[in-house]
Amino acid sequence: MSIIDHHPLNKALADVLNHASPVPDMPAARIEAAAMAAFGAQTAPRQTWVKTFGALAATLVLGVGGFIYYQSWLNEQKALTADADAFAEQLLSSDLDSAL
Amino acid sequence: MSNPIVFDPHAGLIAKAGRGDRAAAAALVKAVSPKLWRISWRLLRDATEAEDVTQEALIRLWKVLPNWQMGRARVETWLHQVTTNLCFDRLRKAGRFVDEDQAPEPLDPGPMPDTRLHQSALRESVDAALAGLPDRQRAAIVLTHYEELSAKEVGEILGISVDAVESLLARGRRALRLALAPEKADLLKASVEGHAA
Repeated sequence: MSIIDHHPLNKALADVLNHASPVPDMPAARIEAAAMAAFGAQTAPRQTWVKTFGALAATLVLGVGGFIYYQSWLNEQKALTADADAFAEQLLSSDLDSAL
Repeated sequence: MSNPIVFDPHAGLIAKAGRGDRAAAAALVKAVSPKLWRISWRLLRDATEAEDVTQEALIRLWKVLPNWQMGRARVETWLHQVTTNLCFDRLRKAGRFVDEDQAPEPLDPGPMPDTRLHQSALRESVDAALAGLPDRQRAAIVLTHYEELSAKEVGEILGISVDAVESLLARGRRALRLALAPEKADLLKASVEGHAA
């Protein structure tokens, strides 16, 4: 820390000079309005981009997920059909009819 | 050696505003803009230009906010640096920037006049004395004495060492003391009356 930090003379000098020549009031409304307009302009494109990208990503995830699920379901059906066919073949080739 | 983490009292607002939170951005503007206005007005002595600089500093803040790295610097210190540099740029463009080696040595204005100065004359004297300082000395005086920033912060803002800040302040105060010597009694009296009122 410097020796000038928090020295009482800092405040005293500022008080004297401030009182003799005060800073005019800040045009707060104009400054805040301009700053918030710039903030809106800065963030709006990003938010639009985020929304668009989010929708695309969700569509892609659902599409790919749906396709994978459909493929697995189809394979399962084929496997079941193959099992049923094999069982039928087994029955036909056995001596079950003559036994009955 | 790694730099120590800097605590920023506005960290919460910065994080929220960086994610697009308008209420946080508005609160941040309210918190930081008065000081930016005072610094720019003291350095430029022009309300229109000070308003432009304050707005420009805030616009620059919005641009860096999404990538702001917490703990590396205080946002106010960064804003004061941007504001001071914008003021210096404007002074340079207008041919009003006075470097220290270009500034004339302050002259002793002589004995104190008999008549007491009125408030407006006093204000003009203070304004003239501040305006007569080289711009980096004025910035050091404004940031240290008016805004009560530490020498380390002023050094970061002006891009100089603490020793260099102390040197700027010593020269600035000496120049002010000489320039305002005739008004010393009136200044002190006005200040005391101001406190009493």
